[in-house]
Amino acid sequence: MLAINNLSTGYGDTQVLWDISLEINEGEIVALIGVNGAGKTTLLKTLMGLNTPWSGNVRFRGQEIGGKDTYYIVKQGLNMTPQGRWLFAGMSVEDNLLTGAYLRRDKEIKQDLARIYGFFPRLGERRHQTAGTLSGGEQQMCALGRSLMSRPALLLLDEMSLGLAPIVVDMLLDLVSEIRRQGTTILLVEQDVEEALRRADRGYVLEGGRIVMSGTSAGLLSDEKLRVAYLGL
Amino acid sequence: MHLWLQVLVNGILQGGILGISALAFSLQWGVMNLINLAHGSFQVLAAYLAVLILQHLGLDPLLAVPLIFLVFFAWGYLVQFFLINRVITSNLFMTLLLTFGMDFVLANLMILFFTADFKSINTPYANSSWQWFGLQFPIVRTLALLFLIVLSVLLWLFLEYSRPGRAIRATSMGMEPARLMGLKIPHVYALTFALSSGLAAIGGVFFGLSNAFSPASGGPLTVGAFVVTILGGAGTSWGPLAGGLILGVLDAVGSVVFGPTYVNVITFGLLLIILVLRPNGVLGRAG
Repeated sequence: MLAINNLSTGYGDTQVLWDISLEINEGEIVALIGVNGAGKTTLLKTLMGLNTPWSGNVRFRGQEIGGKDTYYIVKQGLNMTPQGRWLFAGMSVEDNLLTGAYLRRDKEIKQDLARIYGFFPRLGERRHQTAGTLSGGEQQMCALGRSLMSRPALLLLDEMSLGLAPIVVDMLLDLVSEIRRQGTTILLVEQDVEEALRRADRGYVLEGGRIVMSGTSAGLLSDEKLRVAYLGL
Repeated sequence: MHLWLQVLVNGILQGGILGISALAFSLQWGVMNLINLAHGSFQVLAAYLAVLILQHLGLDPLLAVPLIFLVFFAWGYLVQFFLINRVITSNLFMTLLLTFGMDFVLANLMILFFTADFKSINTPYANSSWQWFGLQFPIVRTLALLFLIVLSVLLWLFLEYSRPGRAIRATSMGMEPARLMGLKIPHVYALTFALSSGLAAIGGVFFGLSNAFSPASGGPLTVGAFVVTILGGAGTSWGPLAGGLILGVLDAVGSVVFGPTYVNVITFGLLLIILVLRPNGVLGRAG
């Protein structure tokens, strides 16, 4: 579904990613693991067209999307829930969700709103409340809901659990499995390596801007080097 | 007593013209962080367009308002898309420089085509007033206030409930997040500037109907819109109405108390006080 080939990029004169190659198949949950500064967010931003690739290519469902407009990429069915959430703080919860469906012209937007409120009853209760007044967990739900409103084929989730209570994190990660079951492929970027790999089918390890390891979740979880470096075991 | 009531009425009605002008200025400022120094010249240009339409088509300026709005809407879209968008994401100084340049070019083109002489739009109702409880309500200014109220409501409905309105609000709150939603920011910006140019033009028509004007009238109009926007807060639908009424009344009262020559002192003194005490504007957030 998504095939990244020898992608390199950076900001200004500083190269951040070197020769990234990565593949995601339809229906998978793929985890992307790496410490702060490894380049995970840069990779996601580049996939979304918020940063330009220097070389290499990105194919999504057979279409080249490397270096294309974000508008075009979103239209192809790719979406991202960004780290830090990026909500429209002064807009109501419902308006945030509707903005997520901006490119859609179909009649089922109302129906999808109800679906999101079904996932997150708290958002339903607060639909007219300003997004900036929500708690951290609710804001993350709103950001995830906003992405889902675009009906993405592939959803990039960047550090959803950052700064949230464990119980909320569990709830969100459970939901990720449910979203996949309903037909959305997922690239999961998580700090909590064990949690992420437990829910993913496969994983890639990003270190210093390069992919240094990849494999099935079970394989990675039992890998001695990974256990020492990321799980502290 | 009667004198003061009339002064109050004059001030409130003056707020109409100030407010329509600020509706445009505040939208540009609030959404794009753009301080448009050519704002006043756009308005004067609209007044000249009203003169031309009256002379050549015989169409009354008030009836020509929809046409003038559309012309400036289109012109505003092009100006933003091809000119201002090129510098809008760089620092504030660049946009100030660009709009200052646009103002300069526009003002001089107007001198070239319309001469530097003062003009006024001659309509049968330009200098007439409605009488009500012994008070004078100049027709043009009264209509301007009504227009301001209607336009404020329409703008609010548009921003709050329409799809493009939501896009404009989202973009004003964060450009990268808005891009991530699949919004084409250059078009959202162009739409914002188109809309505000249309609004500015409506204000310009009312200004031209109630004042004599020349190509040099743009500067004071820009300053007025600036102060009203500071008073009401940038990027709100009701700020221009509130700010326009406050400034209109204060100017009217001040010019009776201190003499008409001190109006500018009042305007700028007010600006200074507000910036020190409530930098977010009287009614909420500034840009």
